[in-house]
Amino acid sequence: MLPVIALFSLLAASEDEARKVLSSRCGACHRQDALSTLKLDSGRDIKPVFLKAISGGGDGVKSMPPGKKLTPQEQSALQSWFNSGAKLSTPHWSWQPLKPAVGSIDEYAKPSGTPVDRRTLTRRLHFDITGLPPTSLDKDNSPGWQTRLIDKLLASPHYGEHWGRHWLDVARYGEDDFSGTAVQPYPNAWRYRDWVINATNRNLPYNQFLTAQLAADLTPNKTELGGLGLTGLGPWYYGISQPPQARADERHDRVDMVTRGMLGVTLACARCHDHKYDPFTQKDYYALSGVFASTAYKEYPLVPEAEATKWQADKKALDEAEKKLNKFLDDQANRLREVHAKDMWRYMVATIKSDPVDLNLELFNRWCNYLSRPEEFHPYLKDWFANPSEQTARTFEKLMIEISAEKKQLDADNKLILEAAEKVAVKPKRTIVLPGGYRSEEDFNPGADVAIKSLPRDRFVAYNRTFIEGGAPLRFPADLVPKFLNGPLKAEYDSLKATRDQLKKQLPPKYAYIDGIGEFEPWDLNIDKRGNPEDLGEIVPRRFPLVLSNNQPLLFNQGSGRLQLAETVTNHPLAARVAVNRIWLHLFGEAIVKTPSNFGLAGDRPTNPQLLEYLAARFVALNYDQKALIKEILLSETYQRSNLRKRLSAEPLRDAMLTASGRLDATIGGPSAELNDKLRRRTVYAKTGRFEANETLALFDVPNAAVTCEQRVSTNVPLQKLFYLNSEIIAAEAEALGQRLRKLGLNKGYQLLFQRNPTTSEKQAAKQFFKDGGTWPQYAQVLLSTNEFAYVD
Amino acid sequence: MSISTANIHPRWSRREALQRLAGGLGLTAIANGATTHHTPKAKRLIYIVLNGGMSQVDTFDPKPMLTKYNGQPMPGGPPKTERVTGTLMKSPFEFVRNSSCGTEVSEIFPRLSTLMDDCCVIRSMHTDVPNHEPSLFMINCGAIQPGRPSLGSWLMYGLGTENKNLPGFVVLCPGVPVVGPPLWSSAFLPAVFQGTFLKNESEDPYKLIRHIKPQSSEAAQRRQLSLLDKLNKEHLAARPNDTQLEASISAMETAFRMQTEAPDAFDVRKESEATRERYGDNDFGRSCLLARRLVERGVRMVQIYYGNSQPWDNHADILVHKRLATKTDPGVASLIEDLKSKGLFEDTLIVLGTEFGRTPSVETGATVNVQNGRDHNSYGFSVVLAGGGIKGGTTYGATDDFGFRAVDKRCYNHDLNATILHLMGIDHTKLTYNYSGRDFRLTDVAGSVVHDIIKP
Repeated sequence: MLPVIALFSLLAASEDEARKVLSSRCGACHRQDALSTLKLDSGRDIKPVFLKAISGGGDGVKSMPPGKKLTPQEQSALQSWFNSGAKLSTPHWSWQPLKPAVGSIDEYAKPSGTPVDRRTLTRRLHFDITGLPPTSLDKDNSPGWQTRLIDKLLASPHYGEHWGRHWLDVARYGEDDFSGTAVQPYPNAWRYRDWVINATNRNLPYNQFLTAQLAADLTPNKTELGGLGLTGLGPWYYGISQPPQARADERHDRVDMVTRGMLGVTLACARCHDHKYDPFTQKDYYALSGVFASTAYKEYPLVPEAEATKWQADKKALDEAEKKLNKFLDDQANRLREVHAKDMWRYMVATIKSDPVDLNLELFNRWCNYLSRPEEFHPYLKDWFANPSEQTARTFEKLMIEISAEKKQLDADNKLILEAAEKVAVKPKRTIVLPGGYRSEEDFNPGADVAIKSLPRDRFVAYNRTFIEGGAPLRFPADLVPKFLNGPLKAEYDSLKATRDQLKKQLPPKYAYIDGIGEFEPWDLNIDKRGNPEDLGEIVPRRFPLVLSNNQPLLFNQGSGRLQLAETVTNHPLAARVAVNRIWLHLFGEAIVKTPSNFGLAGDRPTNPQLLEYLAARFVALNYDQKALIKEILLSETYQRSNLRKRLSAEPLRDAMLTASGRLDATIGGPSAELNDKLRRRTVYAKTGRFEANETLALFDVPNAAVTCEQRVSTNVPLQKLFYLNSEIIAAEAEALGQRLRKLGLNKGYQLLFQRNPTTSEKQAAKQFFKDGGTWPQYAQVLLSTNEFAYVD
Repeated sequence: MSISTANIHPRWSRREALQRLAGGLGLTAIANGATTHHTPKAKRLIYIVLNGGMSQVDTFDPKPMLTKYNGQPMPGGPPKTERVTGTLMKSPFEFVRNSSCGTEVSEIFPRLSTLMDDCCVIRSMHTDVPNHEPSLFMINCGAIQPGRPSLGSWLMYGLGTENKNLPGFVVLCPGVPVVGPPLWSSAFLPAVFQGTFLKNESEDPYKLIRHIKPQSSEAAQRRQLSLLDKLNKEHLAARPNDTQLEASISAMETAFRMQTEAPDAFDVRKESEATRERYGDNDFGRSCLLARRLVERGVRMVQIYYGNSQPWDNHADILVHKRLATKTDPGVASLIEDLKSKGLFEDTLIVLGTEFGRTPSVETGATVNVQNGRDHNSYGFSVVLAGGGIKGGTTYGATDDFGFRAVDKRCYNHDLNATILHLMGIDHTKLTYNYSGRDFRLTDVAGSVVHDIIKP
């Protein structure tokens, strides 16, 4: 058996190396589609020509590639591949059909070492299945206890919290985005997180799990709409860049999510050019991206339709009442400005003697304040400051009234200019509506391209400083205007305000809804030349990447094509291979293919191909039953024997602290909350910012929610230790655990945390610690900070 | 040890990089020239961003023709930028020559203009998009869209830190610049390489750095650490040769020391009144002073954003630039002076940059209320560099007669980043990270080092 494997990898390696040289040195002219049809092994004996060409040419054979010669290493890579048959036609290993599962995990994984003891296995199983520690060993230790423990833990709802979180990394789950100017929160985001947890607990078969997230709205019974949050929650890029770019970037994210996240395919590389390594063309990219151009954000209310409609109508009424009120206040502010511009000079003169006489006190005070800072830039007030008098005040007033009139005329002119411009403006191709009702059209920054007239700068500054900006004496902000109203105007204001207030009071918080997606106008995309969405190439029909469908175009033409996409993805052997590789990664801390989101040429080959093939085939045979596959792996000798050590990731680490302190609130599901010392829920329920990651979670390697995460890294840095030393979270848990330990004593305390008794030296160290003046909470803090707490064998 | 990670599995490169952080190999390795591609000219970087878009024609790129043709249409029609602009508008500021090299600088930088013998002005910068967000991504992350690691993260990944008791990449802003955290994100690089962002409105270091204030007395902490050490060593004895466990033990020792060193480093109140006055007693001045204290202690990169949101975005009134420069000038000038007097200038690179420039023509679109400002301009802008191997007293490249488009020795953002990396001892084409199926780098597939501005 061994030599065959060795030969297989030798051939594979020679093809890999050759393909790399061909892509990087020959691909510029012999593009991807040409490369895949390159028939060096056909008919005519081209061997001498080929070998000559790559080694510098001569005898009428051109040196290839033109320009810089191949390095000796590159030449030898091509030579050995050529000598071994020059095969490129074999489909890449990860795209080949699955063969039936024969054998067993242990047969391929070949376990070594001795079985681990009951305590170690118990801890390992608890953390691996539920992400929570045991607090004692089960009484049940009769033969078969492992199976019973595994069954119990897999049935626990905490299983879904832990394994759901694994998927949320891939799903780049985040609860907000950046609009370009502000954070755009998704208050219902947690419903998708809960759907993932719940679906994992229900053991929704993996193929249905993926289908729900791509196309639940297109399935016959539409029961899994919660899964649509995968796309409904973005990332959406709003106004970060010009609409064509921002929308293209969003589609790019979806392509990347589906191909890397579900298939281990790096199709996103083909956005600007054909893929450099794998045989994916730019057409393949836009053919898939079109599915998402034909899909739009959609809000799915979780209340009866009538209730949602009513809420929206009420909201609209409130908005209109608000608008009316503001318009009224605006008109009145304009009127008041004109009225009080005419007694400007009186106020100015009154400031000389600091005597308001019969003037309005509020306005008088503002004038005093305004005129008290001559050092500031006041165009046209120089004369007044040199000689404050009725005459200079009247001159200033006259000028300001003149400027006001000019401004009024300009505003009227500009209004006409803008109206005229709007009439001839290019209508957007189509309007795309994002979460929160954000409308994306082609006319970014409306009005910015229409030239209008303005006051000269100094006149504008004078106008602005007198009438508009904060501190301007004749500024009439919304809260001030009512004080200057009386009679019918006051009555009108009161009525408008009462209506607004009443509507505001009546409007309940927005109903619950799912951030999802729905069908949009079917839309085949043009290729963006060099990835530039404003330089369009040919249109490509929506379909699956050719090489993944045996080079037969598999069209996505029913509606957006999302359901067809979901079916194609879930039936593809890559989906199973990628899924089982990730399961293995979570259980063993190291994947079989060490690039879990890249099963292509530039990714790693499986370290144990037969094991991966067996697991993938078994997963399909089990009808994508994740719990069943996990159970088979956990029951294998490989798992129960291996010398494993994994550091707890951020969530189980904090959850274990709360378990130890006894403060854990184990409620399943619900809205997210800020992660701080007050939060007693599991970490999976902490707010997950995409705009700004929670600092504690980021410190412990929780990935950025902006892109699909291939696998977590595990860092070990002093800043993490500062968390153990001084954070409020550690202080709260140490305090509670300290109290607990004081009551339990050392033996029971160690049983609670580590399910063993302390050693003699550990006892002695503790004794010394207390003798030196240490307290129970300080002792507890030390136990929480130990390597034994953070690393599970 | 090479820092090239091409064709190496990410796990290895990460481990290697992390060892640099955890094991503190940075300083010695740099000193031996072992982890850089070539001998670095600069070991530290202070990158000041005048966020919002500094107008080149009002600061570092004097244009007599713009003054001459003030009020006239720009030949060839108004430039196509984000918004509509009208006729040419001269700068309201005078340009002065206050250094022996003769480099002309706007009067709004009176002190900096005397230090031009130490500075190089690149007058031919250009970028891709006349919008803030993509351009901020471009200068920081080398791409116009989110999801790429920042310059500081790349430096951390490539070089590690010189002082393991302090964060190696610090970002200062009294507020939050437009876009915010993604600008100092490590993206797909390990999360530890992301910038440590300090909203330095407060002077109290304990409010600036998380978890730095000891929560118990030193004696109590020592007692705890001694117990922890015993327990961990006993645990380790049963699990020999586990480098992760060993690294964890040493990280705790480092953290303990950080509690003393970091608050001191971040406390500008330890400077004399006179010094603080010289930098300007305002948030920008404090940022510059803090940057100096940090690089003195071996922080690899300090980035300073001038202010909250985008103060330099003066669409309506370019005279606002003067008010902004009044705060900028003392901070930047004092920073250069102090680094020189402390002998740090030669190996500390200072970049005074911005995301893009502004149009020479006046903005007239309906989105402004007065027409005395300038629109975004991605076609031409200026960046000032000093120290760290930069040839002082020089200018490089030029825009056209009106200061709109870079025409001579055009310098793309990737060229600037390639040059910065080069000065730090890194070949920008070799500092790569394999992710999502290919090798990524800060300069994407572009960038050439501008050797002309580098001292021989």
